[in-house]
Amino acid sequence: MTNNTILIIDDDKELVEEITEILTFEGYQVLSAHTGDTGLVLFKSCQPRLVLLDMKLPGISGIKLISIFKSLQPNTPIIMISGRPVYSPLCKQDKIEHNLEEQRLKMVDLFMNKPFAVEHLISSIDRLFNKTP
Amino acid sequence: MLMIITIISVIVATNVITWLVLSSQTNTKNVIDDKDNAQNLMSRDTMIVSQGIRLGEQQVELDDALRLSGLGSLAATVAHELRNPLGVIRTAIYNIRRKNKNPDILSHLDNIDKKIMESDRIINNLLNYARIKTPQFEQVDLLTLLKETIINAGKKYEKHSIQLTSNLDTIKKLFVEADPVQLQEIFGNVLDNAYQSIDSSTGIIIINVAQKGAMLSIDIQDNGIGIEIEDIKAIFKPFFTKKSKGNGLGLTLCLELLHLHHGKIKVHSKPGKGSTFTITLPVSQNDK
Repeated sequence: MTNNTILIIDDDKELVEEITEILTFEGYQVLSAHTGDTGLVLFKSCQPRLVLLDMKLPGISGIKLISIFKSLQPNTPIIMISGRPVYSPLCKQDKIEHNLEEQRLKMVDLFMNKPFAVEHLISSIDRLFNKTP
Repeated sequence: MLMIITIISVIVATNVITWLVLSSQTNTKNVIDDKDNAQNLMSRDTMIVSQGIRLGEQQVELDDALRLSGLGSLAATVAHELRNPLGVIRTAIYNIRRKNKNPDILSHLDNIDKKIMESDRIINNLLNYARIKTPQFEQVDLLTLLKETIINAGKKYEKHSIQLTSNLDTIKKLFVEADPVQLQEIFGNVLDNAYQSIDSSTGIIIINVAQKGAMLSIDIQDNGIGIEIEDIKAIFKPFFTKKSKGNGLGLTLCLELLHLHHGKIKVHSKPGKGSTFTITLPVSQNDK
């Protein structure tokens, strides 16, 4: 049986609820976590095929989780979903921190700014699923 | 040494410098009898005061930078916080639409979708406003910059039959110490407003540039709808707009950028007759 599990890690419970319903309807098995730490535990134990990850999370931040996930499972695609403006000069206030964040963000397979179009999310997940075995 | 420390500690509020000049001169007259000593002390005082003024200017620049970075962080936070609930609303609308069997509800869902996108645009505009940085001053050829801005605006509004005239060709050279990108932003915004205020086929925009001593003034006049008296005070306030597609940040941005250039913007307007925006700028940042 092929693995079609998607792990959503976002502290916005309502968003997780809405996306879970959509992806379940689309035929995926969905797991969710509202903190970075729970997300990491689920990632290790369930080995999802794809991760939907928020940037700002309680516990381990979404940015840190990118490098942890990619070191554990380099082929698992990560879609980062965030309301935070990325790659804007605003993020460059602390240069060292900004450079580190930029390096980690480059490891992400796709970045989507909230409020994203759901159709775009679904087609992106389909495309990334077809890329990974 | 004691005097330097006193001055440096007080110059944080730049307006205290004048008081320091007066008090140090009074002390010199009352206490010192020897003329040479008095002169030496006076020249030392002048040096200290000039250092004080320079430090005062640096403090103002630092205040501007801090205020702008604070504004940037605030806007980024607001954007993040607002985009999250917008994301949930948009996703929830998708689910409602998927489950919905009642066609009467669809138009309401479309309206919610439209408003979500409108809110997202407002957030983006706020972020653009907050990206204002302290100006990078250089010698700018004002005539060329204004001509480029006029051409760009002309292309944007080529469907409008608006006649634009200026006195730019009557002036040989005009250089100003400014940030060219920010200047273009200022003129572009005021010119946008002029074009957008005209809805008749006999629209006219007149641009006049003049140098008055160390100051430059640029008038941008239109014969558009004008501004109501009760709205004049509000037009520079953030998010004030009467345009259906305006974000209400254009003139706020102009005011902020001109403040950083030690310039000003004024408006004269008559409802139904048109408006004239007058921008004044120091030719050199040393003459501000």
